[in-house]
Amino acid sequence: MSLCSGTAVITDCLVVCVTGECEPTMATTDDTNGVNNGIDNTYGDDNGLRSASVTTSGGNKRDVTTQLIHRCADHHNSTAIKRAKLGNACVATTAQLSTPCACTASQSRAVSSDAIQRSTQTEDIVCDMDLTNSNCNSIANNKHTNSHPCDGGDNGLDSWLKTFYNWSHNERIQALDSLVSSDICEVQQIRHLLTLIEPQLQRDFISLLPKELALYVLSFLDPKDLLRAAQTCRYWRILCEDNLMWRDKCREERLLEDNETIVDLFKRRLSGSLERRRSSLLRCSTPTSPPHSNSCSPKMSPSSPVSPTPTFIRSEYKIAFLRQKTIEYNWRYGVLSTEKESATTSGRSRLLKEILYLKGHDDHVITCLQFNPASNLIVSGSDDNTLKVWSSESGRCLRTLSGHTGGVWSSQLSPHDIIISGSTDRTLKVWSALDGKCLHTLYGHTSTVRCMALHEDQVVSGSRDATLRVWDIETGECCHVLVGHVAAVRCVQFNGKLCVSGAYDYLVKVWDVVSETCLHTLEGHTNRVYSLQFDGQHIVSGSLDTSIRVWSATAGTLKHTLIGHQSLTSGMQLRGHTLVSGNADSTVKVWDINTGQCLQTLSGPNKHQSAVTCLQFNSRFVITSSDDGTVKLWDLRTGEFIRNLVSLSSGGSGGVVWRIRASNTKLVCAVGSRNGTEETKLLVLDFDVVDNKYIKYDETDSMFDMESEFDANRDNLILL
Amino acid sequence: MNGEYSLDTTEGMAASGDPPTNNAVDDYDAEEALERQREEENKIKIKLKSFEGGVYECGLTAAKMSVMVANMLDALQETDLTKIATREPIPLQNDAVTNKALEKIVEWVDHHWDDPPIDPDFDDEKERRNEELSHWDKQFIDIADQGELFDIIAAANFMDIKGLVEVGAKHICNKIKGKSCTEVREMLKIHNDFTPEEEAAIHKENEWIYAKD
Repeated sequence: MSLCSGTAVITDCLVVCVTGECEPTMATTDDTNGVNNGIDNTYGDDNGLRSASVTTSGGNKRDVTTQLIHRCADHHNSTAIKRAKLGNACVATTAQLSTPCACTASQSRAVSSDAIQRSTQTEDIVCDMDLTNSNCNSIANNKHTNSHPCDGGDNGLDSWLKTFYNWSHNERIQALDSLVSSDICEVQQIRHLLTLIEPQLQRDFISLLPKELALYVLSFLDPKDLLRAAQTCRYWRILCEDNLMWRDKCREERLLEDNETIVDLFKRRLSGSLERRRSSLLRCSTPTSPPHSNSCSPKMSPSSPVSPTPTFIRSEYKIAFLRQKTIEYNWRYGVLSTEKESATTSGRSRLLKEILYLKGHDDHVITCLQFNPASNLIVSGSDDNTLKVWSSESGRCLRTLSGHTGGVWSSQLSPHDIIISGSTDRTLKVWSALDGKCLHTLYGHTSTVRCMALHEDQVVSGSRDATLRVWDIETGECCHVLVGHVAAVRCVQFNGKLCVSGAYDYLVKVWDVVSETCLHTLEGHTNRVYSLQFDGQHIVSGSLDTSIRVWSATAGTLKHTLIGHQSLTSGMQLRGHTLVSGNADSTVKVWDINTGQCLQTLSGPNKHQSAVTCLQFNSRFVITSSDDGTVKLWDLRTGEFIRNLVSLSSGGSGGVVWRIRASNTKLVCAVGSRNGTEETKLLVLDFDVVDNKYIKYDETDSMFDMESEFDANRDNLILL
Repeated sequence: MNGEYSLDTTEGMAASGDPPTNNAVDDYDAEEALERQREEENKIKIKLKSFEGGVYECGLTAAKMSVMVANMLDALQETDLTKIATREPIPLQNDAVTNKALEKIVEWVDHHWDDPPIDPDFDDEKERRNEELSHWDKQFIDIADQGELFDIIAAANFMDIKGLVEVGAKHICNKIKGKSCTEVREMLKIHNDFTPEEEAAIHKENEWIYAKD
């Protein structure tokens, strides 16, 4: 029969060559010598194969050598090898034609005790040993049960193979050369040959490399690719969970810089209830054995009994990272309950917790708003002479603080939930938010208390009486009076030592509180100063003259004048050298105070339609509120509009957003109207992770057995 | 490069308040002398012996890119460096150091020996990670035989050649990046040992990665 009688035959021949069907005598030989001969012969096959591969792929790899040896052995002695307790990693696959079974190369690699046995000689010996140890009977059995290549052969393939088998090494190479390079094989068949050979050259680097090196390799992946890689196989998943690696990712994402974020993300740990975990955090994911010495080789059988697998330990930093990503995702895309209808149509949208509506203060204006995310307390002050304390979790009004005889126009909330309020009744009051008791009433100002700044136990208040007073909120004493402004003090900042005040006399003053002296008077604004930021070094002042000025606090000199706004700068926030300013001209600008450059203007088709009332930003987002009844979310870096977080139906017809306060996960808005179109209330939007259902599969499977500690906390430090 | 050095030294000098010209020249000369010494040393050829027994010649400065080799040479306490050339080949006792791997490693260090040192205070780790490989390195490391590539990385790690390990790591990561896990499994012949339920759970956990930023 002609060799080229059909493409199928040729393909089959090639399959047989590659999969090691080349030594009929071996199967008929019952002694070890014969087996060794078989191996020697196999060598020849392999070299022949190499030659074939050289011709086809243009560059062959020595791997084939080592792999074929095992394969040949497996092919004829798979039963024996299994009995010789080496075969548990082998999954026999029926090769074409009469080949009873053939292990793939990587399986045979798994057979050898060390997955990185690479020396040809070594493998040869291993193989030799396998066969020597193997039961001769089973070889004999093989002889009887397996059809011999020479037995059947209805199309001449077997005799063709036998001829090939009987050739010397050089003859085989020549034969393969001519087979591949002549016109006998069609491209299609050569390609088939290539697909048989190519997989033998592939390696699962990650599993084979020593763990530290594998981690080093993986550290070059960005978080997304890392998570994708974790879905590849179990061992990769273990590696991709490395806590130190994720700590680096957290650091790179700057999650470890923002105090609030850290507190949010590591609430559990910071609470100190889990000391045990803290210590385990340091060496979170050390496997019990080096990766290359056990079951982690790339192609082990899933059912094979494996040597101790490295344990899967959840990385706390990864959890934090993912949680933060989810929160960010929620801010951007999370579906608020008012949009439920549209949510059901798009599959991947996340439904957020219901928006809370906190109604109070009747139809009065909410003038000031404070939020302590740590204690979940919200404090609203109103011109109805009261303040109200709310739970940001339940939305209930916990206390109403009554006592002022005039409208409340300024307030502060300490980390320990002490409230200080300033009123048109010329007093300040110190309250305990928890029991609603008024601890002190601070008398001294002769006109409305319009602004205040709290630092530890001291609060500085600025008044329409043109003075500032420094109070001790523990004792209720007035410690210092700062006199110098000639008009109402509108804004104040205080760092414990220095106090900065802005007033309607167009001046900004820097005070040394203890000596009650004015260190600098910053002249330059040509109209009333309404807003201030102070970080200890820089002072930023916003004025009705439309400019924003950046001053040096120590030298008392002007550094930059930020020009661009067209009206009153009502609110600002400074974070590092990034300043965000909200203006009555309905735009928001992002500045670099080091260079004085305007980096972004938050405007465009989705811009606010009316004066900006309040703003807040973090490393990613800017949140702005406006008299147009909306709260908008922007991308800090690009300046792009992301979406409306709140959009009052009464917007444009009277409904306004007066104040906003945001934490990493929550947004509190004070809304209402002056004309009755919108009832006065607070809105609490929660962007935290809500779906805390995760699946437990197998109690014994640590990989999916989320630590019960996480279970225990309803309040959740959860995965998604 | 020399220009940069002289610039740096000028700045440092200004801070210390010394007269500019002489000092800058001195520092410049010191730099240059060091360069020259490295150049001279690299003309001395030493022999490295692979695990398989193959012996490869390599410039001394280049060979010292391997911290392990550098330490071994230091341990010899040889003052006359030229004598090192006549010594027995340095054996590299790790089975990853095959003939082929060592040949490639020698090729790499011979090309990179006069690279400026990696700045340990590199500001942004992330930036360094994302820095692209040079064209030469890309070609060097683009090896079809993954067994060989594996050996080179493992051997470079064993020999402690940080730069080359990084090249290997970046290369592998470039291959993994942006690929689905099915594609990665296919590429590296990895058996998927997750149950469908487990796979679904992980997928859910990582849901955000499928959202656009």
